[in-house]
Amino acid sequence: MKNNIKFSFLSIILTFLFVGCGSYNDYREYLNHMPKSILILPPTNSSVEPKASYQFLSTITRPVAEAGYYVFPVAVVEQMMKDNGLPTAQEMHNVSLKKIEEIFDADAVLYINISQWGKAYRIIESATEVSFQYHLVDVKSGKTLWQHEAHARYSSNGNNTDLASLLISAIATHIIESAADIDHSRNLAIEANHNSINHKKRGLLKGQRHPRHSEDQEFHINRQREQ
Amino acid sequence: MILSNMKYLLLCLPLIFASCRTEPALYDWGQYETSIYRFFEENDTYNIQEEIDTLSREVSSDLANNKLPPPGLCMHLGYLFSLENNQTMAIKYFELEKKHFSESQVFVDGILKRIANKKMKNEK
Repeated sequence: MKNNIKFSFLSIILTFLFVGCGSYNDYREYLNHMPKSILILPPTNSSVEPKASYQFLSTITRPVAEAGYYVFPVAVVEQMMKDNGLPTAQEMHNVSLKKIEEIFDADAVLYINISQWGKAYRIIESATEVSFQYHLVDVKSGKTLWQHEAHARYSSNGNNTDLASLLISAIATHIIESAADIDHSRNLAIEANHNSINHKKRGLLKGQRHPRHSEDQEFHINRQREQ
Repeated sequence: MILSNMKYLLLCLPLIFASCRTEPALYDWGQYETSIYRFFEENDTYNIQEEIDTLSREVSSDLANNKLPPPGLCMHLGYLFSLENNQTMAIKYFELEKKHFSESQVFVDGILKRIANKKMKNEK
């Protein structure tokens, strides 16, 4: 082989399917029902990987809390719901907002669905892809405050362009990653969550515990006024 | 051996990403999210006492530095204590969560009430 095969674990390619990247969200409802606390429920999972739900759940607390919100402990919430006869995420998502208010007194619920998680095999590429859909709902009114779609992808290819290298790289990566049980999905989820929540024009507003909360509120209220 | 450690090494990648952020973080996250991951993974290697020790140290360290522990960490730790049937410590950490995060009050009070009711039932 001419070239050394680089197992470029550092060549992370993130793509985000944001239609109209330049436009702001309509934050009116969000501003009118600004939540202090967010209940994040275990995600529903329509991907092929059953482990996706709990792996995802271990990545979502941090970015939402760092955005300035109180986040209920996800593992405790999950176990509590299971102990109370709700074995699946879908059943947990079906709990009435009234019940949620009664038990948690959360201001908003973040519902997530995972539609893609894990390896997507293409002949010359071993890629890992994740896709999520988020819905933030106000508990008292039931209104959707925020919704978002995220997609992230990691490719084993790095900067290879010749076909033979690509093929060998894909096979070798697959062998090594399977043997080591390396799954980049969780790391992709961390990046995707961070970017979704902190997106300048379409992310979460800064919560009350964030130092820039007032500044952020003022900015968005003024923006909405100008429209 | 190296390969199985690789998995946990990759779990540390977010620390590298985290260092790229320009704003200082509100909280020190330590092992909390990794602890959540391990909790759900249902591995034979899951050692609840080790988790308790690690997270207890982190909470103590945060408090010693006048820093709030991350939201939910104290409750998660309290929950682990309850799984080990250490209700006293569980209650201590639930109360700590409530103290630092008033948003958790209704949830915590509900759990404390259930613990108290269970205790009453057991004593009858």
